[in-house]
Order: sequence, then C-alpha cells, then structure tokens
Amino acid sequence: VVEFEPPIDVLDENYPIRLTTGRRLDSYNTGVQTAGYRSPLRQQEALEIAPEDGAKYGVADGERVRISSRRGSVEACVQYGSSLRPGLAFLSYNHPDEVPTNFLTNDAVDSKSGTAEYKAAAIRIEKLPALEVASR
Amino acid sequence: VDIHLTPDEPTREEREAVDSVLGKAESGWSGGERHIELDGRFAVGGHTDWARRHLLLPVLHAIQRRVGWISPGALNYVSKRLDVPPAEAFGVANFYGFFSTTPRPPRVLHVCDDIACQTRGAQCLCENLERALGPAGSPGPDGKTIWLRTSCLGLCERAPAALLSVAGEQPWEKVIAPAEAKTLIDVVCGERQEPLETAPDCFRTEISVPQAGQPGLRLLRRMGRIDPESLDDYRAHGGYETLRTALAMGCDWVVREVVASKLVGRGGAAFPAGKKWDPANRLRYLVCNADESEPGTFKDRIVMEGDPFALIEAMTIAGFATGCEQSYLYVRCEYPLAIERLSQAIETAHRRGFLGSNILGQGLRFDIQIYKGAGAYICGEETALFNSIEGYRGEPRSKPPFPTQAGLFGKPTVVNNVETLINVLEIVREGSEGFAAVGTPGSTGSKLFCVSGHVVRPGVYEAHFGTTLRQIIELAGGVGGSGRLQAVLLGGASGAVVSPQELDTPLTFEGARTIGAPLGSGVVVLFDDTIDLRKILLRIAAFFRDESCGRCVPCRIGTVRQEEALARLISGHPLGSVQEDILRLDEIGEVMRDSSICGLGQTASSAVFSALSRWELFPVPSP
Repeated sequence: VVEFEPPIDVLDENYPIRLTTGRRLDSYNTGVQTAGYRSPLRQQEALEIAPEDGAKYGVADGERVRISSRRGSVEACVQYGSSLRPGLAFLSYNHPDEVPTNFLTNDAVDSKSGTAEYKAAAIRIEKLPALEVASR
Repeated sequence: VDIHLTPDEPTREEREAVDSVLGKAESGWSGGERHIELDGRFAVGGHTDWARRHLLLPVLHAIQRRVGWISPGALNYVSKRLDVPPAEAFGVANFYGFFSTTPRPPRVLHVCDDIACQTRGAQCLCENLERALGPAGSPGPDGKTIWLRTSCLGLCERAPAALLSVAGEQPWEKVIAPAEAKTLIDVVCGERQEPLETAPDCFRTEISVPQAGQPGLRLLRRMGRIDPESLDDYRAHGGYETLRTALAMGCDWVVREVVASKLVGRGGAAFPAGKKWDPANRLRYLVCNADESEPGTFKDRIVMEGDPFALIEAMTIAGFATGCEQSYLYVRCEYPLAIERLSQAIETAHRRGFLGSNILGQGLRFDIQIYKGAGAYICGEETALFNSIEGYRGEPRSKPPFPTQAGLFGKPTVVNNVETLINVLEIVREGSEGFAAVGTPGSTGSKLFCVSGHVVRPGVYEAHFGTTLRQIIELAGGVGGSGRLQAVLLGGASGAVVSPQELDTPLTFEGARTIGAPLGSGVVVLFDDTIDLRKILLRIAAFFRDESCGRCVPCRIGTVRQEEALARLISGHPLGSVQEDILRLDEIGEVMRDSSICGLGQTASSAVFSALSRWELFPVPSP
C-alpha cells in the first residue's frame, strides 16, 4: 500500500496558489511536426488562473504579472481559464524561451517513483509596478 | 469536457437559438454560467453531453435560421454544449450546402439552374438576375439579401423554381415556382409591396398531379380528393383500414406478403424491399428516406405534400412488420411544405392515438421523428443518411456491415424510400397476388414517374410497370417546347440520356437495363432540339463535382476531372486532341464506376457515357 503524501511545497499566506504544469493541446513533444503550422489555439504562453482568483488579486485578463515561488520568479501574462477552480493555476513548460516555468517548480522527487514535483508548486502572483509596465 | 476553443464568443441570438434546441446550459462546463462551488470541483457533462450528438444538425439549423450564418462564436458554444471538438463541429457545418460558415445576409434566394429548370428558361432567369443584382453570391443593394444558384430543388413540374429562406426571430421559407425574373428581383431588392403568401408553398393537384381523380390509380388514389391536412378526411377515404388489416393478420403475414409481392425499392437502387424486412435481422430502427435530391425527382415530395397520412400509416405498418418502435423520417430541407404537413400530421396522429404507445388501442408502440436534411445530395445514400442523423458529415460508410446488420447508431436498421413504403399499403390492401397482377414479373405494381422538361403537362404520373416511354410522354400530353424531341434523360443525373429511337422501351427495371439506362427514381426529363445536350452534360458533371463528399479518391478527383474534360471539349480546346479527351472521359468514368465506395461515384459518369455512346457530340476535326 502506498500512502498519500502531500506535496513538499506547501501553501501558505506568502504562496497561496497551487501551480500545476503540463502541456498544451497542440504543443506536445518537440514541435517539429506542429510548431511549423499556425493554430488559432496557440497563443503567447500565459499563466491560466480562475477568473475568481483574478478578481481576488486584482489582476485583469491579459495583464502581465510577476509569478514567484520559493525558488525563483518569472514574468508572464495572465489568462482567465474556465477550467480552473480558485486556488489553482496552470502553466505549460513547452516554451522556456517565453516563460521559464521550471524556475518555479520544485526539484524534489518522489522517493518511490523518482517523479519530480512538477504538478504542485506553491506560487504567488504580484502586480508589476506601474513604472515597470509603462517602460516595457 | 476536454476541448479547447478560440476566444470567439456567441452573441445573445446565437445562444438563444442553440438553447431553443438543447435547453439552458446547466454548468460552466457546457457553456452556461459558472457556479464555482459546483463547477470548481467536478467536471460535468461528459456522456450526457456527447450522447446528444444527434442534435448537432438541428442545432446548426436553429442557428442558421436565426442568424443566417454560423459564426465561430456560435460554433464554439455548440462545441461546448455537445462536447464536440470544434474542428469536428466546423467540419459538419461546412459539409452541408444550406449552412454558411461565412457571414451571409439573412434573406437568401436559392435559384435552381439544374437540368429540368434549364429547359424552362432558368438560364435566362439567372442572366436577368445577374444583370439586375450582380453575379450569384453578391449581396443585394441593402446588404440584407443574397441570391445563389442551386442544384435541383425538386420542383421540376413548376420550373423554373426558386426557394427563399429568411432567417430571423420568425424564420420562414417560401417556394417561388414558376419563378419570374421580376418577382425574384423584387424579392431580393425588398421592393415587393404586397407580402408573399404566408404558406411555404401551395400544393395544387391539377398542376402537379394531372392524373388526379382518374379511376384506376393506386398510389395516387387520394390525390386531390382529400384535404391533406385532415386525418378525418384521410380516414373517410379508406385511411387506416390497411393498418387494421395488418394488425389483424400479424407481422409475419405482412413480411411474407411484401416478400411475395417482389416489391422493388423505388429510391433508385432497385433493391428488393422484402429482403431487408427479414425478421432474422432483428431490426431496431426504421428510416424513411425522403432526401429526394436526384435532379428531376419530385414524386416523394408530391406524396408527402398531397397525402401525408398515407406515409405515416405506411411507416406504422412497416414498423409493426419489422418490429421497430422508433423511426426517423429524413426529409430534405428544400421541402418546407412537406416538412410542415408531415409535422402536423404526426402531431395529429399522436393526439388521436394513431402513433405513440398504444396505437388503435392494440398496444402497438411506434413513433416517427422528422429529421431535416441540410442540402446534401449524398445524404440520400443510406449510410451517409445515418451519419447525418447521428450528427456527422454525411459521408457514406464502407459496406459491409450493411444497414440491416449495423445501421443507425450501430443498430440493425431498415431504410425504405417514401414511394416504396406507400406501395406497402397496396400490398397489404390487395395481397401480394393482387399487387403483382399489374406490372411485369420482374417489376411488379405501378410506378410514379416524374415527367418534366419539354413536355406539355409536366407532373407526377402513375403507370404500371411495362408502360413504354412513348406512352408516358403521351400521358403527359406529348413533347412540348419546339415539339421535336432530341433526347430523354431517364433516372436523373445518375441515369442515362436516351434517344427518340428508344421510346418503345418498356419502363421496367429489366427493360430499362436492356438499353443501358437505370430506371432510377422514375425521372423522365425531355429535351427538345433547341437544347445543347453538351451543356446539359456539363451541368450534370458540375452537379456531381459539387455533391461529391470527398471521402473516396476516385469520386473526389474523378468528378472534377470529368467536368474539366467536358468543359475543355465544349470550349474547343481539348488537352491534346478531341479523341484523347474523350478517351480520358472514358477512363475517368471507368475508374469511378469500379472503385468508388458509394452509388454517387459509381453513377457519376453514367449520363456522360450514355450520351457519348449515342451521339457524336464532339466531332473530331477533319485534318
């Protein structure tokens, strides 16, 4: 019997949002077969959050934000996603040139399977200072 | 619910149109309001959503009729509601001729320029429209109307024909036949002062069924004698007595009689109807094929408009005999009056206990659901029709399995044409011997012929099998137009063109075969000597190119190549020489006939072949 062990990266008031990472529908594997074609579904990589969280943290759909975890921080735009519930966010790791997602994720691995904890990082979202946004 | 969408959102009208078929969306997952305490924990939808896939076409119809076209936002909402991948939903919307996936004005005038209408001035009509309104497909002056050319609307006895469809809160359709350029231009320009009649069409037996009221008619016995909308009138003229007979004699007896009568399917493929009814098939669904799209065919429309209860009674008997409790009636959407009359008739029959769970108080359970086509000739092919009902592109399936093994929704299904089913009433009434007393041993009973083109009185005519082509033409008042007959098209676009020397051929399935012409659905289109047969062939080739579904290669490529070669020959610029292009036509036709998966490709070259073998249409220039 394998007992459930919660993620090592715990949620607290500094890092209240659970980030899960994965792939996007049309960007699987290397992109050799897919990236050469245009797709209406493929957009700039963005942090998907529930609309309720957007309202809670005061970030608008499409706004550029800083995303931080205990290991690092990256910048990305926010995208409201109706498939997410409050408290859960999503980023893909397909485009490190756009968003180096794995700066955020935990290096810890499961002791039995050796799987990295890519699916459960603790993050927070911060608005960028107005000046920084303006100079961009 | 794992579908990914573009950001396009539906408008309020589009949302309402979809909801009018599917009901309100129950969760954020299926496009409704997001209730986070529920939607945030569970993904709902799944099977309950995709089990309604067969509602895809009705939903697309609702959007098309409300807005006039199907926008990306509307398709996104449909995809969410039915849990269909958006690419697939687009593929379905894009497949059917009556749906538009690009912006289109709400008033659309479809003008028929097919072969039968061409004999009655469709070409001239279209030229007038072009002069007044610009080429087909260009919006009218106020941008609210558009006119389009279309293939056969099934109104050949009143050619030239047009169909107006108006989208909006109260969508409506209106048949305009015979059509005059002035009326059509007024309709498009919105300058017509007096409103068009509200009924979608008028059915006048004296025009469409010139034989009406004559003694000796069987299939057309009630035409013009009854009010088609009255069940009481139908019963007063012998209606539903046949169902009582069938119930009294039992289902085995009905099947035995249908087999013994040697009834041959009247839809065009000439398959023995009784074979499909074998109880060993353990049939689940009955489908009535009323997607009568063969150019020149309109007999099923006449039956549905003039005697709708007869079809309902015939379907009920078929359901009783084959053990099917659920049936589908697939009608092409170009027949607004037929759809209206049948819908009302089904409702009336339900109310009066002639349909439902206890028919005639004898515990018989049977129901009919009308399913509206969306402008695709290929959906007359039985397996393409199943796909269409199931909410997919109307592409035929590979056979086997045959419909009686795995048909609609994967269940054993029997498909019969409207006229075939009407014949069942005669078989039950007279018994198989009485039924087979007329006609020939190979083709029993009588047949409805759709006579149009250059003939004095076009219309539907009932004649015993074995009647010659000459007699049919005489029945219809003789050759019209210039009075000098050049050719007759038998069996529609997938039939054959025959010459006046062959008029004494008896019209039976076996007789027509001896002159290399399929009897098909009973189409007889006459051409006088003012008609350029080459143009007719080119129109037929264009029809097949347009209607080929693209599923199998020989038909997809062959129909295009056939049209190209014909166009080259007509313009006098053959590729290589005339002989080479004719040889090319031969080869393309042979490949299509031998290797297409369904009847469309197999018969797409039939008319061209028959004409080229009878006439020297493209003389080889002397050196």
